[in-house]
Amino acid sequence: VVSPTNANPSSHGRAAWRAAVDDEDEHHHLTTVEGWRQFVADAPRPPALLPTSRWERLEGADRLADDEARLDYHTRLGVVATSALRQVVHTGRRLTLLNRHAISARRGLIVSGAAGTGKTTAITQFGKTHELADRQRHPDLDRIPVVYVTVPPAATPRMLAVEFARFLGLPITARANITDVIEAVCGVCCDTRTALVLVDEIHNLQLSTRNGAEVSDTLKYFSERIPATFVYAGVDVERAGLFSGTRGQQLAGRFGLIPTVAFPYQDEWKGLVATLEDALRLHRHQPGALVRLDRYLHQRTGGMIGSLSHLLRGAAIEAILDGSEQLTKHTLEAVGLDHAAHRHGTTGTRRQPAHP
Amino acid sequence: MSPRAIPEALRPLPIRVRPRPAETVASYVVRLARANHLQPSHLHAYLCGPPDWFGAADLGRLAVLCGRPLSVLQRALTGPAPARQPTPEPVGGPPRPQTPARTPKPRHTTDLAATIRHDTQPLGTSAAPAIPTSQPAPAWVASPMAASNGRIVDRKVTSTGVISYAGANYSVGRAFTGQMVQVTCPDGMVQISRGGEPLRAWSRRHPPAKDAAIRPDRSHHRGEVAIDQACRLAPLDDLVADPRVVHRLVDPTGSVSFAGCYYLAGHALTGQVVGVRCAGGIVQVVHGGELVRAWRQRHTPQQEQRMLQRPNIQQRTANARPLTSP
Repeated sequence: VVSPTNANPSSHGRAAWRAAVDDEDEHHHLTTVEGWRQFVADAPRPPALLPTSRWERLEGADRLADDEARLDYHTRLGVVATSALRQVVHTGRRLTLLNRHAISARRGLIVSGAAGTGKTTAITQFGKTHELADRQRHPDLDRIPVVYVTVPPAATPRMLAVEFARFLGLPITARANITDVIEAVCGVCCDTRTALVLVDEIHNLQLSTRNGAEVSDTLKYFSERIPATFVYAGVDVERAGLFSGTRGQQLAGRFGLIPTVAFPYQDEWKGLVATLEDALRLHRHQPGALVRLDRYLHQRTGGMIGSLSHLLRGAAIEAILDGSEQLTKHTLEAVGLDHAAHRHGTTGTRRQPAHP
Repeated sequence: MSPRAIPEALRPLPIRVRPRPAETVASYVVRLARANHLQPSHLHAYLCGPPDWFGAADLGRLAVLCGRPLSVLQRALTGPAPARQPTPEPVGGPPRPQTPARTPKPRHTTDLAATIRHDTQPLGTSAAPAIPTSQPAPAWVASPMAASNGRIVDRKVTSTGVISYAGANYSVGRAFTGQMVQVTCPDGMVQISRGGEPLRAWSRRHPPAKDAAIRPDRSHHRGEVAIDQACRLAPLDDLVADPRVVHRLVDPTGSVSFAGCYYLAGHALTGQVVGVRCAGGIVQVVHGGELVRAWRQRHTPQQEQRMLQRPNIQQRTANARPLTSP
């Protein structure tokens, strides 16, 4: 898991950030093996934070380069190892070991929770951890240990199979039927030793519809053919009927559920704010200023880590652009949030506790 | 349904396959498809690219998919995959449906391993049933008359991709359907070439005694002349400047009308324009600069003279085209 650290800046780091800024036009998606590999290899280091006096003397291109590097850094700001993320990684790691020699009925994992609670971050960080460990054991690129796909809306079995093929880079023509696609996907996954399959947006699967049931059966077939641990993530899947009916009961019998919920205003929230504040690279920011605003941040975001990350990153970018170089309550107020967080902030409704 | 329905940027295949020295493109495409659990025909159509997804595989697209530089492929692989000749659509008529070219497939799955294993071995050293040949051409192709028995006969590839030679069938590949190939049988190997380019080589399956009785030409049509004999009697070198050459559109029966008589050009050329001339008592049918059929003259000199006065009378009809159009 990548956590923001106070790494010492270096010229090599500045060059890396310069290259990252230059390549900003290259869009990579997690749903392709090239994008996934770049995500796994990506280890962002904080850019050099020059002494304030030296930074104030920068002019022209040097000032622009410094600002660009810090802007690019704050668009990502690293990942914080929350308790839910650690639980997903540890449970998933245990499951992959348990399934190593299973020939059928492999156990899986479902990460469920409201939007913005870090489900995708948790499963992708788990996938990243697994792939890095696999690369250490087998340092060649012929392996694809992790597959990441999303369930498309109104999915059919063929659409899901094509999503797998698209991740792997298999060219699928319209002449290929679903059997061809599934055979190619399963064959390549077995040959490349795929051990972990991450399926996101599983809430797009409606078991009450015929297509949804067929997609569920296709996923089940994939799990039988590919010797891998399957991890699903979706919004409130237990309420969306994923565990109802015959197919749902089979899922419930094989998959463990990890809920991700909003953070209560407790020590973990304060630690989360402090970690994110340490990761900031602003020249005039006073250490501890954000920690003193932790209650305000909790009220504003409703305890959602996604909203908090968006708020702090947006405010930091705004501070660099307007030259204030610090986060204050006034700066935070200027950043708009998602509708859910805004509704929570105006009504003050309490969310359910993090760990029931 | 057409593959053009899925426009997508080219990406490398998940499993890379190293090209073997002097391997043919077709062989490499088949190995690449098998390694990635794809249908070779689907991969071949994808490599042909838009708009037709048909013909010879594009090396540029292949370089992207196999994840290797184009220069490496050009250096390692030999000639392009055989492409089926697209048929020009008749003027005013509906477009002919096009189907993607098929990569020659082994007849049995167990043959595949043997084919791949032996496809880089030199000719005549393997007991494999089929040996795709490689460039540069072997000696028997470079100087065909130097072959041990000295006999080279022409055969037309049937719709199933085979030729018949001395009572036995030998596969050439569906991609060559309708085309004329040259066959010789030195030292117990049936070697098939086309225009000097080696295509296939097979261990002899026919009795050796039948070699002596083999007819130089396989045609059942009376009056047809062997291709090599026709070339010797009337060389094609002066074909472009020869004013006696007229062009004709091959009718649906595969024939062309010349000086009041019909001469068979072949069903494979139906709808295409061929050149026809009469030299030394032999009517030659030429397509793409290559002699495809030759017949003994059946028309009278008076008929030919009248025809030469109005050599391209068919041009006034709706379906004639200049000779250089195909």
